[in-house]
Amino acid sequence: MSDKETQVPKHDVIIIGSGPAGLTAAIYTTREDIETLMFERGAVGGLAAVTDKIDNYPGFPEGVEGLKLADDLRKQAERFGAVIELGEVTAISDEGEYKRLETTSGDMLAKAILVATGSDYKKIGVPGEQEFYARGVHYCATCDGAFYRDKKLAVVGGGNSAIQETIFLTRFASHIDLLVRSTIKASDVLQQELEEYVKNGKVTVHLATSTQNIVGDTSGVKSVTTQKDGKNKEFEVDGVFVFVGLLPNTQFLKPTPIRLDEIGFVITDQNLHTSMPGVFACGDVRCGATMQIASAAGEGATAALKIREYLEGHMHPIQN
Amino acid sequence: MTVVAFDRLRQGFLKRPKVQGGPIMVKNITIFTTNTCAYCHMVKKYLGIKGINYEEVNLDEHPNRQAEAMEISGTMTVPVTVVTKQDETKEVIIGYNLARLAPAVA
Repeated sequence: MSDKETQVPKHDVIIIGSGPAGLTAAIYTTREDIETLMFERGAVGGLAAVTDKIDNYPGFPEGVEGLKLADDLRKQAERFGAVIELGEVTAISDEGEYKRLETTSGDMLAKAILVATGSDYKKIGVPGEQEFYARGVHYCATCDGAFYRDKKLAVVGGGNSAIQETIFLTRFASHIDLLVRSTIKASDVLQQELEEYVKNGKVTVHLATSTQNIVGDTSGVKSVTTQKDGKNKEFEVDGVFVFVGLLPNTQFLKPTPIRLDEIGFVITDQNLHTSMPGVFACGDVRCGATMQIASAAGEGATAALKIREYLEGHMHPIQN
Repeated sequence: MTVVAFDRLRQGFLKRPKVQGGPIMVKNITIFTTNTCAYCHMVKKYLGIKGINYEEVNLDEHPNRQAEAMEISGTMTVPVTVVTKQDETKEVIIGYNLARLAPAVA
């Protein structure tokens, strides 16, 4: 082994991603006195951190701001010794006892890796979406909503995120057209809250309405063309926010032998172990994930305990 | 993650100006932010870790400066970080983009 190789930093566990899944795992591993390094290329807290308000995470009867929950999870993990490196893991490979990680901070070795990279919002793939990106087409209401004070908006989507962010955007926008491809899939509580904004005329819901085209000029977005029952309709808006589902952050795993499903989610066994020994996955990046913050935290705890078993060399076999 | 928005923000889509000779020292840094923007917090956190001073323009507190942020960045998003060098050249970094931010403030 060359001198350079002996200088490659070695860690017990490297957690890739610091959303609720990764941070919860870090709380557990560090409390087990397992040395833990985390990598985060985006926002600590992941998508939870860019969510305005979270009402379904246990222990917060009045709900909690996503940014606050993320910050508190970070503090809790750091309190027990987790270290968060601001950077990106670009590749991983299996070298037996240790796994090698290529990162923006150089190569590193870890006995176990936890992939907790989560997911990000999907695009709708219509003309104008790319062209007006960040100039009228947005995917983060808490980041960009403030640019639309007293302006008209369209929100595309009908799930929990779309409804939650529509409600957030009402604090800025004069009116919001909510464009829902089929029916609203959000929770009843969110739908009831939305209904108040529908009643006062702040939001208009358009069901069975597919977004076809985002139109604008050099000054930004001017309108959205939609289709319902075969008929086109144009909505004059100043901006469009898109929340139509999630895709996993697993690009860096595609060259590895780690099994992914057809969409790109990581396939694990019941121990949250991937097809590469010593590499685990949890949270929104995992095939079968429920895309809930509470579930992600729970999986983070499970993954940490399974990693401990793996490091101690007595991982329990899967019970079928 | 080519299909998602935040990735482009991280990677940046403004070309970095070519620098002739050695690095030019940073004169000052201005960050346009909002209260609810997690990526704004990350930019501030990174600069804080590095012990780098900056001026923050919070657009929730100063909405009259939104047009300035939009003109500088050509976008309607935050964070927008403006790094002014000693020779008065400016580098504009949109989003939380460590690959651009780290060398710009080094």
